[in-house]
Amino acid sequence: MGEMDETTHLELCGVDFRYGGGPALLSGLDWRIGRGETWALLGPSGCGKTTLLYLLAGMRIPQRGNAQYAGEALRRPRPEIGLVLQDFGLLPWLTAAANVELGMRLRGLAPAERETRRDGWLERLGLRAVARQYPVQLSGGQRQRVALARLLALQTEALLLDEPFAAVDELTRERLQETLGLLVAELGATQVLVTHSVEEAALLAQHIALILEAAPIGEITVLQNPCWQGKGSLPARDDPDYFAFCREIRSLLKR
Amino acid sequence: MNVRWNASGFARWGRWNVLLLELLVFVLIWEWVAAQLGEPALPPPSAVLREFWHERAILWRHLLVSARRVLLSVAFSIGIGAPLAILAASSPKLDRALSPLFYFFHPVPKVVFLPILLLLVGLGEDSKLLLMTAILVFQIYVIVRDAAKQVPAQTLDSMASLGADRWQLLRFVYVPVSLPAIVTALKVSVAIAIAVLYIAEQTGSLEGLGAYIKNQFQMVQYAKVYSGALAMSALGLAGFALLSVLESRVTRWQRIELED
Repeated sequence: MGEMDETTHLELCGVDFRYGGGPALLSGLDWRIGRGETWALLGPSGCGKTTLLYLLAGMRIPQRGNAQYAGEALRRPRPEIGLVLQDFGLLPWLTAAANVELGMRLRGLAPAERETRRDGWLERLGLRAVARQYPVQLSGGQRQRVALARLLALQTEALLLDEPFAAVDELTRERLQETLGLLVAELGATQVLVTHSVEEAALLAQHIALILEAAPIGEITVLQNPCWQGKGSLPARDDPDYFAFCREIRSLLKR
Repeated sequence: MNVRWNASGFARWGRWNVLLLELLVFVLIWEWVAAQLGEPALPPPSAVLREFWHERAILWRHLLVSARRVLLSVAFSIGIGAPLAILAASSPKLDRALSPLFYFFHPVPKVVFLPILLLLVGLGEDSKLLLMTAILVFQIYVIVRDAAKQVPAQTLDSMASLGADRWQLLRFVYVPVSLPAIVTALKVSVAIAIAVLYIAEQTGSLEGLGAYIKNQFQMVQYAKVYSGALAMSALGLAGFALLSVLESRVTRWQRIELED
């Protein structure tokens, strides 16, 4: 892997989706995500951002069209795809360390390998001191890092993140954003980040998919991030170009 | 940290002291009322305790018989009820098939079928165990199934995205989420089992605390009747104490929030 190439990694082809007998949430949606690309998905709440992520994760099946992983139709979650949900999905009865290990246990990794990876990620994400604590004892930022460690320990090729930093304070968020940016670059993984923060999208993604309120259902607008300097080097938060890009996104969203 | 521990340690001592004080007041009032009434059916606690001590070997023998029946029936019921409840909570199909049946039969007063059971199964251990199990299993199913249904959809989604299969979902989610409810169900079951046992041991039984109490009552030995009741209470309290230890272990992840 490493360098990004032009092959399609994740793709939605002509997807229609609705929940039960509800109104159409997505209709005829096409979206192509190349291997190793970093994407952010922005849009108003209730527009189906999370649903899009679930479709890409193989956790929901569209009524029409399909979601594909490397050209194969997705019918169920695949081991190459990792997902972090909005509430982090930690099990409250397991310690931080056991939560990090959980995904590897479910996927049948050998205990020695599990321990090595678990301890490595706990260390890298600064969680060693709280390894034996339960989720209720952790702060929002620590819980988020546990969820991230659990995902990264799986060494998946695609990372799908649903508003991962929504519940943490400003300072923690900035630190976590930088950590995520570096790790995604290091792993060479494809990233799809769902967020409601314009700044976060402009900071962490080369490609930005917008779901606009005024646009017809199923249409996404794609912007290329002009401040993007390659994976692993995030735009400076005080860069005028970065501000200008954020303004541009905002004006599109407001229209 | 140290100060806080001392404070909570003191609070715990305080609670025991309050209980002891309340019990003392209760015994004193009882003693006084008994002395005023002079009624043989209400002997004073001093006489009951004397009789309890005097009868201790006999009471212990009956208590062991009763304890065995309680233990076996609770074990059978939890062994049948809890796994079925957990499986039903995790599988909509099984839930639709089982739960209406269990909820329908749960409020039926099964104890009224004791005479029929005695006729069909006989006077021995089997009829008692069968009756107690028939009563407990529905109770346990209802409590555990309701708790296991509380698993949030997000948790299931998260497990699915990590690749959990059905068996792993049971092992890592449904069983741990049900453990506190299983302990609650056990506590309720011990109390119900002892009450039902008292009735079951009245008929065609020579052994067990229920039989002992009934015999003493017929021989107008009221202080011994109370001694038997005291032994039965001790059995229930011992069960509760053991289960409380178990409870504090399986609910550690819930309580920790309160302690901190």
